[in-house]
Amino acid sequence: MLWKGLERIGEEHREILVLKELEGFRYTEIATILEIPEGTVASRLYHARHALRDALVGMGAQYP
Amino acid sequence: MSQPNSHDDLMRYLDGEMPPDERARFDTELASSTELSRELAIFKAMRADVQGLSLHPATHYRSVWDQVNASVARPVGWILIVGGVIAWTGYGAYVFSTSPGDPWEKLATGAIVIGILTLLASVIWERYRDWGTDPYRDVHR
Repeated sequence: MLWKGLERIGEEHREILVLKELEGFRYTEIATILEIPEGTVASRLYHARHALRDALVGMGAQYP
Repeated sequence: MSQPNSHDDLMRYLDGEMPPDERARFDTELASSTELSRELAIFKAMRADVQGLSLHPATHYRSVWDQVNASVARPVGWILIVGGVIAWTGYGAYVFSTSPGDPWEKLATGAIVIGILTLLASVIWERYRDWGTDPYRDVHR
């Protein structure tokens, strides 16, 4: 279900989630890789996680 | 409704990107905001799930057949196929070169066949090289 959720969210969201959650990069590294300001990383991660949560909940997952 | 700045702080808090003094300040903010605390709980649960996904080979159970397949059946299969292809190609080349016919026709046909084989080998090599460096090839879905 998680992979399906990741497939459903946009490429931009998926990209930053993979870098953070699966590859374990820090914000400065993510900013360098994606060529975005470091301050944007947190904001983009928030929206990505929100999108993933919506996708998972839409597929029947339950989060507190 | 929590503010956009709080969203960014929430992420930095969750990901351990916040210095200790800021973290202490944010703990106070969390204690006073049910919505932020709830979001934090959701993202923590989700992060644990996502981090459980694997980009690397899993140490999953391999049956006896899996092991035989990987260590014996596949190599034997490939050796037989490659051997057969080499034998047929050699035989075909021999028959083709010794058969009567216009040398120019043979030359042109030979050039086409060699060209096709070269392109095929090139594509196979590229795919093999990309596969070797693909970080996601072992992703388990």
